[in-house]
Amino acid sequence: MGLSPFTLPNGLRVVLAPRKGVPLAAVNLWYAVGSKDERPGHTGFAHLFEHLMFEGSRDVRDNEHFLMLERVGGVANGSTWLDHTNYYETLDPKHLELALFLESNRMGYLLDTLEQKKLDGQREVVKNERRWRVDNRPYGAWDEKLYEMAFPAGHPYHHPVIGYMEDLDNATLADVEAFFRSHYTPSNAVLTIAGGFEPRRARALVERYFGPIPGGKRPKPRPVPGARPASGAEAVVRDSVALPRLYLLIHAPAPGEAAYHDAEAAAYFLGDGRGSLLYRELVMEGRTASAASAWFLPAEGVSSLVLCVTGQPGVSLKVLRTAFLRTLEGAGRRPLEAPETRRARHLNLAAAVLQEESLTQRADLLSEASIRFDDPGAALEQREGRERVSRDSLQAYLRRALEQPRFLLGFVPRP
Amino acid sequence: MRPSLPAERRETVKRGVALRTVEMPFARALHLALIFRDGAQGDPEGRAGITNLAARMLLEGTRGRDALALATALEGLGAHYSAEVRHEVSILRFSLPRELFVRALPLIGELVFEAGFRAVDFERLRDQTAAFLEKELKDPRETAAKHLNALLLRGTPQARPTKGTPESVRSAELGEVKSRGNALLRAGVEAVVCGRLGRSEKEALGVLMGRFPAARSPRSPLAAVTPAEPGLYFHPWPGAVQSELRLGTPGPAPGGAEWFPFLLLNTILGGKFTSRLNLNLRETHGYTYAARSFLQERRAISCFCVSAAVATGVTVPALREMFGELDGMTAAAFDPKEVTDAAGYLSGSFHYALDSPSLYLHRVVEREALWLGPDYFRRYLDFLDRAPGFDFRRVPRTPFDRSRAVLVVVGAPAVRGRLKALGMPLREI
Repeated sequence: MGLSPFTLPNGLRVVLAPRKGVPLAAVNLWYAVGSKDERPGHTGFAHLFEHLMFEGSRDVRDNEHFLMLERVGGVANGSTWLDHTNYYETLDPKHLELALFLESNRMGYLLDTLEQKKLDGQREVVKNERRWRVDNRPYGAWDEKLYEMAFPAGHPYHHPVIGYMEDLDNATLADVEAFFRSHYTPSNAVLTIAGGFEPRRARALVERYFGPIPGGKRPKPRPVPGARPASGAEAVVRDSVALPRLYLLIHAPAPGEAAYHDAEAAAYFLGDGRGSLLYRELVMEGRTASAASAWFLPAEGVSSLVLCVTGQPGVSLKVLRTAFLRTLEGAGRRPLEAPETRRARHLNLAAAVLQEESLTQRADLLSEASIRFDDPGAALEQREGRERVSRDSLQAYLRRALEQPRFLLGFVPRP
Repeated sequence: MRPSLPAERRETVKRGVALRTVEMPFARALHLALIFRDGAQGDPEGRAGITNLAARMLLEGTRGRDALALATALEGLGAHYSAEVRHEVSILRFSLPRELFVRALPLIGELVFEAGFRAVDFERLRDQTAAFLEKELKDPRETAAKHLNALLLRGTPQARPTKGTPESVRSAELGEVKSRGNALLRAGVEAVVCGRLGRSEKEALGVLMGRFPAARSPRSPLAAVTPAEPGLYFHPWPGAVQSELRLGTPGPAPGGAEWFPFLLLNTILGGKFTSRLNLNLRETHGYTYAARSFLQERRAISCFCVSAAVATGVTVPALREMFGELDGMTAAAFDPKEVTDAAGYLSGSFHYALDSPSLYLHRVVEREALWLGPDYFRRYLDFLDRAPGFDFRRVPRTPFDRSRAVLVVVGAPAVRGRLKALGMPLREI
């Protein structure tokens, strides 16, 4: 992969991944902090904090962060997940220094210009984001409700990343400051640069901009209980929707655990694509469902495998549920056929190829591997892991997974 | 100096079929788009959604394979694929690892030229599509977008939703769908491929393209629109916690003399994060998560649109701010710095497509779907280089004139009374 990893004296891990002839550089910074690190009553804080990271820092005036990047055609954003937060810029390599300056300035000196007005402003933006993503959208609360069921109160994954509306009001400037000091230290982050840049110059720039930032202690990670639940749960939500829908969540292996790649492939086998089991049996043959899908959502400690089926008009939730569960039970018992395994394996591998082909996503994969395994090269092993999925390993995983406690959330139209 | 774009080869295969290949040396997958020069605009009167069903039926089995066998064969090669129908074109897309591409091409040929159109698969697809559309009826943002399109393009075939309505789809019959499928093939096709093409890939692609029939004369593009009466169109949405706002006016013709300058003005108004609209409605007031403006492009026309979802209680103040920003765009001149910033953003973000072959394919497909010509990218980038010295006084600002606009608000019933304060003609839809 041509990787050059190194660590600065302040603890910042850096990965350089040059690719000759590419007229872009992708800068990607992962912080090992996510919604799992929030305190009770402060849900949504990690994500609100991500918004504040774009509001300027000691040497970057309000609104200038995006403006400076846009001026040179840079594309930038950030995202918050259960166990991490990432920030990224993709731009012409000749402007690499600008991206490193901006990332280092907010890593080192965000608090210098933080004020109540910025916090209040972004609080309103995030409330509107929640309304837009969750409250004013059909089925919008699915992940919130499903995770509440699948992870008991007190578990770091119990609450939604975007937070509860009432909790967003609880964030104070003191909270922001404490969060920054605890989690936004160089030792809690990984910086990756991928693309068409000159490695020696890039290293010098990294040292110049990030080197002076005080190290701080790497925070003790909040442990995520990986224990599998003893029993499942089921709930029904009445919502402003036209058709009944079912979501099912199964706890799945965390990155690095045995059978992790089998669980990834299981998503393709079960519900991703027109040849998947659920699409085949419920949409094509049984005609009880109008759509089927599946996602594999990796996270530290425990990942989630989520399946979703939407009913046909006139099909009740009860009928949909019966057909759905019968299909899954059958899948756990019967032997897999070779074309089914080949299909799931190839789709999973192709997804990896498509991810790595994108410079922006490649940088993200390298940061992820560094945070999760302390080894950027593990990103390559992910692909090898996908190649190792066999009929026997997928079969064994499915048998176990489909007998595990499951969490089932139904949506029905509100009368 | 701007980055160089990937080498693009344009060739005409047998019977006038066009093939564009874009070489991206580091690609590990190959991405193929087949652009059929006909779309939902060709739906017979009262039969909205027929073309969408026809294009999607191409993925529902062949004479020799049913829908499941086709899906298993394609996905067994790791193919990610889709069918999309717009008003003027229909597009099939396939992405798969390079080493499996040659094996996929005969399958792609089979699904295009030997489509099965089996009754059982058709009935299922019809029911699925109707269900999907019923589901969308409960989504305020989809509803707002559909209203705006219908009002702006009123009286034209493009006012109809590309996928149809639950009712029109339910009444579709196999015979008419099959007939539209055949019409798609005869309409002419253009293929775009991005990735690293070796000899075997090129040969297999040549075989596929050689099977397409000669194109008939393309359907005439929609040349002009007469939108509905300007004013406010309110759709009450019980329980809404946000108002979906959509404003639209007719825009300039893509690729025409006013096109590039208008794209730049749109960027200043609402085409980037630090646009006037987003900084005002989001960053200054916190009314929304995002406010933006954009151009919906067709071959010979465009629609200028503004979009935001704002908290119910601030619907009227948000609209006032939006109006203020639109009025500001009618100013005679612009701060040169703002123009330079917007040009830098557009130029750089254009090159962002080099991030991956799939993104670059998207750029080329957009260009070809709109018949913008092989030199379009160069002309666009040349304009952006010149933009700081460009005299924007020459650019008509009529699309920003809100007295000519249709404004759709989908929001809580209580919002209706408050909207009267804006003093605009108000109709309920």
